[in-house]
Amino acid sequence: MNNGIRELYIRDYKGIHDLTLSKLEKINILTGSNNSGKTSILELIYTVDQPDAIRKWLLGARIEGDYSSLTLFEGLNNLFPADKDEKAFSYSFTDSMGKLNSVDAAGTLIEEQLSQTQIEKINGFMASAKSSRTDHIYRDVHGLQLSIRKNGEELVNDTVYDFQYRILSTPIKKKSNVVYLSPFAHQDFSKYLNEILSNYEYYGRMIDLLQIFDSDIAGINAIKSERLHSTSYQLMSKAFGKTLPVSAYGDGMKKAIVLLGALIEAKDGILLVDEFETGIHTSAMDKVFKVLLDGAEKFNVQIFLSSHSEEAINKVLKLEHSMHEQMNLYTLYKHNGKNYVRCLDAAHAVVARDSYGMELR
Amino acid sequence: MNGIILCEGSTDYAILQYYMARVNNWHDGKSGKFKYREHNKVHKSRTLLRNGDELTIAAVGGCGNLKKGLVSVLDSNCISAPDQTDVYNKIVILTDRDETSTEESFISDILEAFKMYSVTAESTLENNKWVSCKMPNSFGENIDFQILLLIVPFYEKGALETFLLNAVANEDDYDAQIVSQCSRFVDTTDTERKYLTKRRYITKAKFDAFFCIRTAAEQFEERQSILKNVPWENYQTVQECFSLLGEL
Repeated sequence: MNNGIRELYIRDYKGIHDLTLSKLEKINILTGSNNSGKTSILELIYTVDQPDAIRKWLLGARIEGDYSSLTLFEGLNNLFPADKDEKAFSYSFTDSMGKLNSVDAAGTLIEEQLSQTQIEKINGFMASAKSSRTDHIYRDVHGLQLSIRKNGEELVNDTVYDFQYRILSTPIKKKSNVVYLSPFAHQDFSKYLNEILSNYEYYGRMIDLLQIFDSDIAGINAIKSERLHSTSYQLMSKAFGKTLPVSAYGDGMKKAIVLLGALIEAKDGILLVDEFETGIHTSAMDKVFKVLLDGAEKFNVQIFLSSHSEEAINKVLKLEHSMHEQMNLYTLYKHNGKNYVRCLDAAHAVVARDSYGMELR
Repeated sequence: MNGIILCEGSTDYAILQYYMARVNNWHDGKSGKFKYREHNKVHKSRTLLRNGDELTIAAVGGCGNLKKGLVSVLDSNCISAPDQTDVYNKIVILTDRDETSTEESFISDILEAFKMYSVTAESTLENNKWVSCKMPNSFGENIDFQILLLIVPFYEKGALETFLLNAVANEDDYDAQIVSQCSRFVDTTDTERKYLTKRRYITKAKFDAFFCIRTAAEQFEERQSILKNVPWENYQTVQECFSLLGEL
């Protein structure tokens, strides 16, 4: 993926029946009430560079995380609209070269009878002695036959069963530069640190960024523990005269690490940040948002930010930055069963809020 | 119902708030949602409430800004949410009749503003008449609203202050004499136009002169305001009088 997308049309993905986001800019803020479709849009954009990788669709299936009790089957089934009999959704997008691409997904629910050996094989296990002995006993199972096409060409034709807990389909062939950050991605900040620590320029930017939160920070080190077979990240503090684990610091700092790391990973691609203000205190918002906008420019990243924080949206809109002219605000609505989206450029959004007293979310 | 009255300045703004409250049972609500801004100056705006309805009275800082004010209101309607609860269903433009051609000129301005937002009017625009209109919002759906152009006085030339003084004079002969005397006084004072440099200042001076006499006892806050806006420190007599206060 190079340089992003200019327009996105969505049909029948989850609760989004008919929606067009046009005039997409370098920085795009998505806002709206709960269940208006903000995260669903990010989930779809996440698949634009590799719609053939089922693992990318698992984001939308929402089967990960501490609070999810969904199976693969349930999660993927939920990608289709609950209020329609036909299991089909599609999206199309215009890329930076002006080319129109379309992705169509269709699903069919099936019922089959499978033996224990077949079940274990589908889950990626060798047949066990026990399963061989019970192979004459067949179990009723449900499955979702999933087909995904891009520009008419079939990329995926697979079945996911209700007993399945891993996907053995096409792995992600190459590193994706379409990166998604969940609201709590900062809890796994270490994922992004290796690349930063191995690059002089990125390291310098990281230290500058961390000093926004604590001016006494002088450096960051990776310390490998042979005993625990793990790596911990430590910050050198001038005030304490020693290193302290990054995990001991607040969420704002971890969020800043994750944002910078994700920007680097999304170079020349797309960064999707869900509830971008989570973990950032109001006093640090201006500076962290500036890092985000600087990063978009520096690393040539198209950014999509979702939020329903009035404060965070106001701060980004009011930030004095060269990226301002490449920033749009999309407000999503659901009214009388229909999906709506209002697009305002940053300047117009400021007028709407300040002069018209309009609620932007 | 969500209504808005666009007016020129502070006199209209004040009289409208008073009149709508006293006669039409609107009560003061909150700082106006819609605010006309001009070069970082925010003009006065107030939202009145009545039985769940809202009426915003917004000054735009001069008749030259009324068209821009209307464009902003139409823009607000255009980009409002799809449930249309924020749409201004009733729009009033209140101004005075500076020139004979004022009405024609304002109707032309309104039609130009309408064109920018593809507004269609169901009948011809004219003074003191509600006209039903339709316009598309940013989602391509129709918005219905009504517009009222109110140019006061209806038939002769004059400012709103003149209109109000005439209203007073028409009710009472004694007050009519005072109005006339105050008007003559202002016309024959400051003949070099050192202070009354613009026609609207003369109009306002005649208005203020009458009410200085008519409501002398109640003018406490207004007098305080005047006192605070004069550079008394530059007057020698005042300096001499208060010189010992410098020792405090």
